[in-house]
Amino acid sequence: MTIQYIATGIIVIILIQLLIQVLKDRTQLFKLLFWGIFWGIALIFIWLPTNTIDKVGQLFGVGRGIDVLVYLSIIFLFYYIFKQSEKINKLEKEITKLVRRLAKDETDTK
Amino acid sequence: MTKSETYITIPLYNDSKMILKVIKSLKDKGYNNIVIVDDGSKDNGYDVVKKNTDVIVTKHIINRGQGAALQTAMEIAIEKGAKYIVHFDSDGQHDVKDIDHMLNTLIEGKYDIVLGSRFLQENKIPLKKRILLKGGIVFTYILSQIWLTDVHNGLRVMTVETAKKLNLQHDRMEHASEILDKIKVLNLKYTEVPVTIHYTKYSMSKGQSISNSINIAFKLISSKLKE
Repeated sequence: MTIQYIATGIIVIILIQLLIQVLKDRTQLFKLLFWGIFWGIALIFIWLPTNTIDKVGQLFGVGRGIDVLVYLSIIFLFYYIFKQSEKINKLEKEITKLVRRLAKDETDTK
Repeated sequence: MTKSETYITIPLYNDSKMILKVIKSLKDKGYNNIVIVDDGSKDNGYDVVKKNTDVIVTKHIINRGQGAALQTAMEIAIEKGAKYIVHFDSDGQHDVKDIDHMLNTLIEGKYDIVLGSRFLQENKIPLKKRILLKGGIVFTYILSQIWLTDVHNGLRVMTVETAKKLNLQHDRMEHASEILDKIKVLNLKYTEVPVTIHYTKYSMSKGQSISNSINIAFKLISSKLKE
């Protein structure tokens, strides 16, 4: 049971931080919604009785419900990393464009 | 006449010790149009060039990679009215005398681009480098269906039209493979000519490592998959 309390505590801290961020910058509302739902589902899974989670697992053809959660998390993380690297690549290209533009503007021709 | 229409583009990164020698060797052979792009060097390459020479010089305020620096240099050369563009290294590996016959080959053979190859003539190439480069040849063939004797040779001579078409998108070392891929995709007329590479302790210390080569391969495959 202790682990459930620890996990809940961590999630609550994350959500509070998120809330503070969004209060500072209201344009981030979508972020709050997305991560709110994400951590909300995590909380439900944490507090569901073990046999109920296992039933969900059996529905997916996996023995234990917690395994489904782990598999789904891994899939989600890989997708998230992929999206982040796409974003970084795009940013790198933008930076290069900027640096190149500056260099060309300051070309020194004697 | 040709030499006055030829622009030598040199990406410069932490080579302030060698660059003046390289510039002098080019000027001695009559190549006076030199464009140097200092790619955010940690040494004072830009200042060294600016203070001691009269070549065209600029700098990337942060390091963006050899591909990005070459692209900047080519764009400047194009704006200056270049007819022929040469890619040349700043570390003293390349030999100026090779530019003459590469230019002649380009013009007489009506090629779009002429690539230097260290394997077409006797060059003392260290074993590790040799294995890496041979692997690169096979990799390039699989990726771009273009079979060359040397795939990461930085000495190239091309027409300005080719330079405009190349428009390098890969900032780092992958640009060398990108050029080969574009030769195939754009159906450019190309050939390889033998060139001399001077392997010195200095130039070897700046060469590609195996881990870097794997990184290049990975980036190229992922960009191919996105096409």
